[in-house]
Amino acid sequence: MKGEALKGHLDLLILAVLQAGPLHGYAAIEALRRNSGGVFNLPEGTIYPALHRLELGGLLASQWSEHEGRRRRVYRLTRSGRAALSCDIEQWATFARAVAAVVGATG
Amino acid sequence: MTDDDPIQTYLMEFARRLPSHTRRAERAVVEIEDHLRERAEELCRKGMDARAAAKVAIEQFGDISRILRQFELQAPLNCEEQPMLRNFMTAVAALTTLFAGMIFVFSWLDDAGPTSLAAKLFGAVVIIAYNIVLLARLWTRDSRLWMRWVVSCGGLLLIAIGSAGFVWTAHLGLATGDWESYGFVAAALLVIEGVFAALYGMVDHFGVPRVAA
Repeated sequence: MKGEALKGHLDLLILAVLQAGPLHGYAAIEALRRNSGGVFNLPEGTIYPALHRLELGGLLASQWSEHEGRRRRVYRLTRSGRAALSCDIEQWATFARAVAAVVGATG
Repeated sequence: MTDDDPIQTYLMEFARRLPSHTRRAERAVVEIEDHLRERAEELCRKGMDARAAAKVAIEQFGDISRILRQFELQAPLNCEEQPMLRNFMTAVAALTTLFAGMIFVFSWLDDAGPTSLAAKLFGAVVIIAYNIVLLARLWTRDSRLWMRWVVSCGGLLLIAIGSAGFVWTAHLGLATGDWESYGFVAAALLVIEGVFAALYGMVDHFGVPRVAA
């Protein structure tokens, strides 16, 4: 699935993969790909503007760590991020149920 | 070096085209380098040669313009997108430079004592030097850390100098009855430039996020 199809859902997906624990950008995009069974295969670079945006919005916090001599930024959910994720999951479930009902009714 | 390292070339191009050079932008470059090198290493472990792996890592990372556009949407205030602010600050800096230059020239003709002369010359040189740094920051993409601090702290210094000049001119006016209007104008210009420069320098350094797209 291309990035365009994920427009509007990327924030939710990022928050969801970070729910399991802190990750750096590369690991987050890998988790996104792995957890979706390879369906969400968006350009890897798109995750960084999204991570920065979520951090600016207070939903993520980050700190530097060192790995094999390279600095990397590790992101984790904040309390607000967890609250937003719960809310988004609920909204998504409602939306998905509604779509399924309409598609099912017409199909 | 960069000919042999496509990742380095990509990063240099990315850094060059970033909408601003704030700490956040610098951070993005470090993050992207870590990402690309990790992907390339993974591909190398699967048997790809280093150069091909780097190229594939870059390809998978995505279109540079698209990623830059997404960063741009959350980038802080910058000169390129604020021509009115840049032109206004340039005009004010030009006027304060003119006043400082006049002080520098006319101080030699002044019959004040050597201490007063030295103070005036020092002030004029400081203002002119500051304006050179400010204009360099406004009209180039160069945004090194020291420049941001000089613009911010220098702005605060200009506010202090301008305020002191205002009080001093008023004091002289009251004492002698000689109200030097150019003194008030110069002081006001210094305060105006100081306020805008201090704010600009701080925004330049810390950034102001836009409303998320």
